[in-house]
Amino acid sequence: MVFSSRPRPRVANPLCCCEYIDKDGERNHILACCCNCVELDRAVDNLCCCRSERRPGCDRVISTVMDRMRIPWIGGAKQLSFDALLPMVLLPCLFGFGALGLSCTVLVFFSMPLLILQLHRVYFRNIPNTKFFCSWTYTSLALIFIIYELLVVPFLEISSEENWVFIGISALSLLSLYKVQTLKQPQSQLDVECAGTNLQSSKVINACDGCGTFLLPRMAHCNTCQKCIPKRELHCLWFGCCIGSHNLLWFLVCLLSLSISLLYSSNLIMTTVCRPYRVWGSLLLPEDCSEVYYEFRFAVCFVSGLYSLVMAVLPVFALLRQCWMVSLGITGSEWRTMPLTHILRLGVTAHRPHSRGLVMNWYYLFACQNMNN
Amino acid sequence: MSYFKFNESEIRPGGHWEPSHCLAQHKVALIIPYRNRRKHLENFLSYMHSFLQAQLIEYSIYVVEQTSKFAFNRGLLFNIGYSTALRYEQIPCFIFHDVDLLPENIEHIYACTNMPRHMSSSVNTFRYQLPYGTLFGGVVSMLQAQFQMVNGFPNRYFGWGGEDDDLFMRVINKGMNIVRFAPEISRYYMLPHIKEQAPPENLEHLQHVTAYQERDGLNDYRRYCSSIKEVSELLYMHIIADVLLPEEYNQVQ
Repeated sequence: MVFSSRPRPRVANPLCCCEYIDKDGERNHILACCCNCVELDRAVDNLCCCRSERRPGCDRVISTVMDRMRIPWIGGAKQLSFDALLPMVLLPCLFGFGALGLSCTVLVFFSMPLLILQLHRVYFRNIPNTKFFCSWTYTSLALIFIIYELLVVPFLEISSEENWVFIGISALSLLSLYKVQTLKQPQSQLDVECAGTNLQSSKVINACDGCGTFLLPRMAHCNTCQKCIPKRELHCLWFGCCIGSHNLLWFLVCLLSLSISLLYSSNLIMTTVCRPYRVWGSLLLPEDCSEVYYEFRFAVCFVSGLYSLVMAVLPVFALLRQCWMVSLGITGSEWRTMPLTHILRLGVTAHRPHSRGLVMNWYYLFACQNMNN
Repeated sequence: MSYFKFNESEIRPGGHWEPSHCLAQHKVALIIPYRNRRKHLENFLSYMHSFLQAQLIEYSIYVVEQTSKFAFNRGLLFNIGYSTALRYEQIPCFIFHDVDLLPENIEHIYACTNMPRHMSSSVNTFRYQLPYGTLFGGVVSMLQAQFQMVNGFPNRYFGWGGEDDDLFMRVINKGMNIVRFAPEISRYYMLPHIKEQAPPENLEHLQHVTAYQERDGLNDYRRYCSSIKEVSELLYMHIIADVLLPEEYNQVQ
């Protein structure tokens, strides 16, 4: 996900691992990354001569810098995309800063959502297919897992069964995340039937304005993916893909396993670094966390446990919402076009032509997924 | 946590109690090393008196306090408490107990087994897990003869940590092994206090356990004290020990 692949033009000599075709279509070498930047020269010229620098000039410098940030790769150097790299730098820094003290932790957890919102508003809104959020998800999961295995487990307070259960759930959530992102939408008759109607009774008339696909019933266009998705639910920024009938089941599995693994890791980490008490059976909850800031290692674990708890809110909320919509038999796109009065009553009173009753809605969710596969 | 009541009038001065209506099956002495934790001691005493009386055990409680400015020496205080207790009465079974640990399960019988017994194997701050198999700290019960045989605790561990691992190796050296009860039974609640790090000398001492076993222990603890004073309190026997550093420590510093 770090590397953005772009179609390379055919060249007579194959590229060595340090060469690449730059954005102007010319052959370039990564050692020359600091040489001969026409855009920068022009910008400095303008600055020296006090000519008013037009905004596109600045953008050109940035795009050249981004084009030249590459790592050697077989068959030509690969480009590192800035938006994918940012979370990998940002998150460890935020964790480290948050571990300095209670006030730093509070500051980090309040500034993190503001930071993401601001980055989205100012910068990533202009890049339709940004990998920033997807990279944020992967970096968070990786960071929590690394901190858990390298810092928390060596305290020897977590039994091997608990550890294996956690690893299993994490593996399941990664697998389902992979499935959600890679499953293709099949263009078949079956799919249309799964979409809630059969072809005979409905007339296919309209073509989509955006991509020209024939609009089947319950199909909706996604501006980010630039295509139409059957039974489109939403475009999930954090997973970097659209959710439709083709991957809805895996999406639910992913949300469920992700919620469990985040909550469980948070519980394991917090009960290790804090003083726990026994609620019932082997279920422990943290009781007193006042001592975590005496040592940096404890504090880092504490911050990651807290982060994992906060992050768990997102998949838990999305899971509940999605389950509710499946039970009602409506898609996310239909939900958003509902009048406010229906939304305030949680959609129960809305006109739902495609709903087949609570049990059958869930049955078709599983049945269609099996047919697609 | 205190769900039992204890009868203060039945306790003899010096913290001795025995069931009035029956003959106790077990007779034990609790040795508690102590310094500067007034709140913990009050909690501990009120909790343990009711706990032990509910188990109908004949017991006495000896609190050994270190007064000098030197680092806390847990092993030495246990040796002092053991020797002082034996001057008062014949005690077949000793329980060496930290002041910040409270047993959660009434089925956890406070008595000795035929092998030295590690009683606090499931503590809440360790998420009720046993961190490593040779852990022998917290609460330990031993028969008097066994404690005499291993030559007691080592005296040369100043500061937190090490003396419990030393005792474990002493027990193993004498051909014995340790026992533990099921984790559900041996659950303990640790009263909150700040965690400490073991000083490097103590880790160094652990390399020479066997060499020092006969030299450093019960037969040697008097070198470390300038005076030992006993005061009989209402709920416990208070032993106040003035600890001093023997010759060889002064030379090192």
